Amino acid sequence: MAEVRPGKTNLEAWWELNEESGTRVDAHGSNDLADNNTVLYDTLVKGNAADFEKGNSESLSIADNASLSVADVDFMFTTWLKPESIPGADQDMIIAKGGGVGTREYQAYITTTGSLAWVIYSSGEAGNTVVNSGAGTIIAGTKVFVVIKYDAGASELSVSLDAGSFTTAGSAVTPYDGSSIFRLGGRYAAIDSPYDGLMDETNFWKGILTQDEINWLYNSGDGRAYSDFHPTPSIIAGVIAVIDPEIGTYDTRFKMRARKRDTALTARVRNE
Amino acid sequence: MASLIYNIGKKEILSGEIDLTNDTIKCAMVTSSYTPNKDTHEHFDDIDNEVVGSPYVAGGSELANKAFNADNTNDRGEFDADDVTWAVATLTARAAIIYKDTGTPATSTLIAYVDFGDDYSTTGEDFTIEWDSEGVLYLGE
Repeated sequence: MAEVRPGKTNLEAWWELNEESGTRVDAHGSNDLADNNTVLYDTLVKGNAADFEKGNSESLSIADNASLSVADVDFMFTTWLKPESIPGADQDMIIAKGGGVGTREYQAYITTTGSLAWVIYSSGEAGNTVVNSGAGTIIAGTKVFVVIKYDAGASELSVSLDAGSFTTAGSAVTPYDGSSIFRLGGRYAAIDSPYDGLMDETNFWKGILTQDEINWLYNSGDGRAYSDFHPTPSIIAGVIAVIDPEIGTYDTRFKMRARKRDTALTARVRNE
Repeated sequence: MASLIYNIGKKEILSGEIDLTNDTIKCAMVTSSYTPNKDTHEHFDDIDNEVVGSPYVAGGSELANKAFNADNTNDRGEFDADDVTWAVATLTARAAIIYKDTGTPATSTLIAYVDFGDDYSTTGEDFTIEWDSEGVLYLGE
């Protein structure tokens, strides 16, 4: 599996999700996410991950801004998930930008059949395109790397799991650019369809990465941290040690004894 | 090629010819074509295949906010400095060279070769070397 480290030219946001609570910082841009209903943490691929509890309607969010708005341009999200449950009804939202009917822009969610659905909306609701990873591909308690993308040039919507091949659907509509809130782990202004589980190292690109670049992000299942984009050398060791000295005590004493002996002999000879 | 401290650097740190506190200590970058030799490479004019790119300037950048720490947990003395960034850079680099800059390459003593482990490239993005949280280099047991 060839890997190529992507450039960050088209990177808009990278949420490492290492915080134990509170605001989740955007390591790359300025899309820091507010904590709604106290999202806590656990470990997943790189340090901590956000741990969303569905029963508490937890999510992370930020108001609409140009960085997270799309319209008819190439864009892509990648994220690591480990769901704690599969929804019994409706859906569990992973990534969503949209309010009520008429203001929806894009959504990615887990369905009741355990698939990852990726949807874009035209004019906020009417006319949408869905692509689905297939029933049973999202499993509670199992870590999975998700890539969702919209290819504006080809008018295609695609989803891939664990850096595998994409499931793609042609799109007759283009994404709506509205003014709705952006959320991880839920949707709408009033939190709806909350997610239940872990989410880690989530990033958003205004562009589409190549398969080799996706492979680099996947890293054979180990994932990547934002710091992997630049060199982080280990501290360099220089050993400092004492070189054992040679101590001249014995020789000195011997010489002194010899000197005393010679002096005594000289005196004796003189006396005789 | 693993990171290393040049022998001339060890000697001049001990003799005081390199004063890490008061001398101008710089960080240059080289490509993967440079092969360090800790015995025969002594001064900056021994370095070849220095990075060429924007906005990188030959000779590199000075290390800012140098700091020293006696680490009693690991029994060593540590030298640290701010991370180095070349903003909106278009370049490829494989390693950094830490050296004392006298203004003349032939008398600028080499201190350390810092291997990144891989080539790192940027195209119009910031290029940052993020030093280890413990520092740039240490003298220890």
